Amino acid sequence: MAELSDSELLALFRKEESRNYAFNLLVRQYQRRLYAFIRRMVTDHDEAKDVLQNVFLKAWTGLDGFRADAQLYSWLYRIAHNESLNHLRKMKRGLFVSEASVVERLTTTLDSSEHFNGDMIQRELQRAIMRLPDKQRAVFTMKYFEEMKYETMSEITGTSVGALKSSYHIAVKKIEQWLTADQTKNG
Amino acid sequence: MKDPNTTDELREAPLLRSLSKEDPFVAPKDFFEFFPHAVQQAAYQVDRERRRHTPLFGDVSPLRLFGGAAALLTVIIVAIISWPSSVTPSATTTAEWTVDEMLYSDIDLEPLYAETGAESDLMDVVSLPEDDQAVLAYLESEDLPLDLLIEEL
Repeated sequence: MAELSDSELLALFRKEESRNYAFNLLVRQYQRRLYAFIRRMVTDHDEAKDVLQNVFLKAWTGLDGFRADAQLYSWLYRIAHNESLNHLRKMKRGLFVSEASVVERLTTTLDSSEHFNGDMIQRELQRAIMRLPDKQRAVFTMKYFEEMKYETMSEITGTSVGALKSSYHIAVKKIEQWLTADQTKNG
Repeated sequence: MKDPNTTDELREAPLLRSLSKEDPFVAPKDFFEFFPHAVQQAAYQVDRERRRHTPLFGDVSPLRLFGGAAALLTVIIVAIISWPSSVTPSATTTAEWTVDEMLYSDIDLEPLYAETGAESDLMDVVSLPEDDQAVLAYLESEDLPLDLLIEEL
């Protein structure tokens, strides 16, 4: 099925008789991209599913107030970004553990996950990404994997373009360093 | 949305640059087929919950609700106090009335004459003769303003 434009989706959503249909289309249209981002952030599929559901439920309740001058995808992405960070914060609070323990847990989840198809180097890359602070991980994911423009990232994260560039630059350096160290260690 | 300058930032990260960007995370089979239905059901649930928890007065704050109730109560009290009574006023009340008020009210004046004494002189009942000529004679004898009476008629 051909994707509908934001304005077409919104027009359908605002009519009572086609509201559910439009919402279903919206979920189908954006679920894969948002899932990919959330999954990279929280690692576990079940947790990613819960976060993704919350994202769409927030969209369901907030879409009436959505401004047509903004991009629907950026808006949904912003919700996904905030929900992912909230989820990680809650995880830390709930477990009463340090940042390092959370990284350990995420790594264990990754290693035991049956829904991870990457080879050795991919696994090492994911482990390195998990070692980044949450916000920096989000920045790295958006830029490296999604190749998003800094302006769009700024809209999503509410951070200045300069700060994002700096954060990404630092993240790239750290990951390159960790990967190189792992390669050296593994021979 | 993709930024064409992305690769430039990886100049100093050759290892990272050499890696495939293919997503290694996979979702369970048919997950994206069933997920929209699950979200739709959850959305209905959210709507139902919201409707169930919406109070009678919606988003009205308790302070405003209290103010509204107080205003309504005041209006009711004022209305009760100022509502015209169908009970015949007592002599004490009617004693303060003017002659016109008494004339145009539908209360029985006879008992009042007895009580108000001096006022009763003003309220003498005039019995008019039935004959037209006699009426005219009476009006002339009483020196009543005939022109005004004719105009009224």
